[in-house]
Amino acid sequence: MATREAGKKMIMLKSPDGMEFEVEEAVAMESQTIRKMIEDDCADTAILIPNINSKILSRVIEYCNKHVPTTGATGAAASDTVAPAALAEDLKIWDAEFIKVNRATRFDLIQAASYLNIKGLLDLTSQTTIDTISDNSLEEIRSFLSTKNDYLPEEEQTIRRENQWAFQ
Amino acid sequence: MDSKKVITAANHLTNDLVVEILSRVLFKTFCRIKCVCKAWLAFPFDPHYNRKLPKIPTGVLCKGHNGSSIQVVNMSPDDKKIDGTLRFIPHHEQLQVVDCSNGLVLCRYKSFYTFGNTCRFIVCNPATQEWRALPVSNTNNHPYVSNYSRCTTFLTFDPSWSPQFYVFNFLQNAKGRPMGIRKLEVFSSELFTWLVDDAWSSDHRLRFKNPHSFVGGVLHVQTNKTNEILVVQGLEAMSSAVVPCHYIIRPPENCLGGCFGQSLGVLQWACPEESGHVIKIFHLDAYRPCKWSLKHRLRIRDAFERDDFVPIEEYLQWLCDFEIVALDFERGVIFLFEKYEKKLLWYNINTGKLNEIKDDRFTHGCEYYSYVACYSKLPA
Repeated sequence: MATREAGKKMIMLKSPDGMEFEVEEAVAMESQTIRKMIEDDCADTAILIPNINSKILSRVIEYCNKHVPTTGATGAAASDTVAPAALAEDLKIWDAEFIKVNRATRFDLIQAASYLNIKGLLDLTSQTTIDTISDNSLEEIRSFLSTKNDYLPEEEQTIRRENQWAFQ
Repeated sequence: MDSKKVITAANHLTNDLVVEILSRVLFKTFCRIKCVCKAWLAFPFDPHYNRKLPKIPTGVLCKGHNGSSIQVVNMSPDDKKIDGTLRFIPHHEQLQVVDCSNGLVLCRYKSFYTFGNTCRFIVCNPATQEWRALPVSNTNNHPYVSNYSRCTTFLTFDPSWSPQFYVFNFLQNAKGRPMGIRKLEVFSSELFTWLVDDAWSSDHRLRFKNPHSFVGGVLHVQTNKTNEILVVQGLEAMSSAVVPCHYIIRPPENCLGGCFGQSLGVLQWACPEESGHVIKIFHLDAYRPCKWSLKHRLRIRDAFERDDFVPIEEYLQWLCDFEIVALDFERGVIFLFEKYEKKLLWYNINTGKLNEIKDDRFTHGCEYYSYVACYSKLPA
C-alpha cells in the first residue's frame, strides 16, 4: 500500500485547529459517521471533524490506515499473500503498540472513536481502559477517571453493603 | 483555542463513554464499579444505558446423556458466556453431572474412580468457577455399584432463602426387596456434614430425571407413583441434629407431564392441557391439605402458528408434540422441546412469542434446567 494507485478517490479531513489530512475514501469510510456523510453526499471537498484535534485525528487516521485492508475491498491484494491468521496476529501486536499512550490521549481516542463511530477503535480503547481499572479499588477508579465521590460516608457504606457480593 | 479546550476535556469521560466502557465487564465487576458515584449507580435505571450494560447471565442449562458436561446457552447473545465444561475442577473428566439448582451444579465421581462403594460429590459454580468437595459418607453408596439399592441425588440451593446449599441423597431398594425409599441422607453446607434418616419405608420411588424444585427451603420431587409429589422440609432443624420431615401431596388434577417452577416463593406446576393447545400453570396455595389453583392459561397454539396437535394419552403422558422442560416464571420464560423437529424452544410468557434456541448439542432426552448465574461465594 506504499504507492497510491491512481484513480482512488481522496477525501480531505479538517481538524478544528486548522490541519488538513488527505486520506483515501476507503480509509475515511472506516468511520461510520464519515461513511454516512459520504453516502448522503454531504462531503464535497473537505469534511470538518469537530472536537477532535489534529494530534488525535492523525492517530485515528493511522489506525484506519492500518485496519482498512483487512475489512475493506482494497485489502484483497494484501490478504492474498498473507495468511488471515497471521494478519490478525500482526494487527493485534500493532494495536497493542498503538494503544500505549497516556491517559489523556486514550480518553481523547475513546471520544474520537465514539464520535466517528469506528467500532474496532472503540473496542480497543474501551477494552484497554476497562482492563486497566477493573481490578482497582473504587478510590483508584475515581482518581483514574477524575470522578468525584458524591456519597456521604454512611451512604457509601450502605451501597457497598447492598453490593457486598461483588466486592468478595 | 479549540484544541486547548479538547485537551482539558479529556480529563474525564462523559457518561455515554463510561457506559461504553462498562458494557464490556462481567456483571459482578459492574456491580462493584457502579458504586463509584451516584450517577453510575443510576445507569441501570436509564433505559438507554440499561440496554448496553451487563445483566446477570440467564439461559438454559442442559445435562447431556452421559452427564459428562453441561451446556449453558445464554438467552441474550450479548451476555458473557458461561463455560459449562467444568475444566476449572481438577480431574473434571472423572466427573458426572448429577443435578443443578439456581446456578450451582452437583457432580459425582464416576464409580471407576472411587474406592469401594463410596460416592464422592462435588458442588461447583460455573459462573465463579468455585468448587467444594463434600465429605465422604460411608453410607453414600454409589448408584451403579450395588445391585440391590439405588441412590437418587438432588442438589438444592435457593439464595433468596439461604446462602447454604443442601444435597439430598435418597437410597432406594431396587431388586428383590420391597421397592421404595429406605433412607435419606442430607448434606448441609453450613454443618458440612451428612445427617442420616434411615427410618424411611415409603413405597414411592424416585428417578433422577423426575421433576423437582426447591422453594422456600422445601424440596418437592415428583415420584413414580401416580405423579404424587414428595415434600421434604424442616432443614432449619438440622443444626439441632433433627432430620427433615416428609409427606406426600397430590399433583393438580388431570396433569400429565410438565415441570415445576416458582413465583415469589410459591411452587408452580406447568403442564400442557389435554388438547396441547394451552399450557396451564398451577400455584400450590396450601400443603396440608394440599390445594392447587389454576393461575394462568397460556395459548401456546397461537405461538406455534399451527393447530395440528394430536394429543394421545400414553403412559401417564399426553403425547402432544412438545414437552415442557423448564419454567422460569420470574423471567417470563418456558423452555419447550419440540419433538417432531427436535428443537429446543423458549416461549416468552409476556409477548406470547416462541423462539428457537439453535444449538445442535441439545437433543431429546437431555435434562434441562433454567439457569441464572449466581455470583455469591460458595459457603466455606
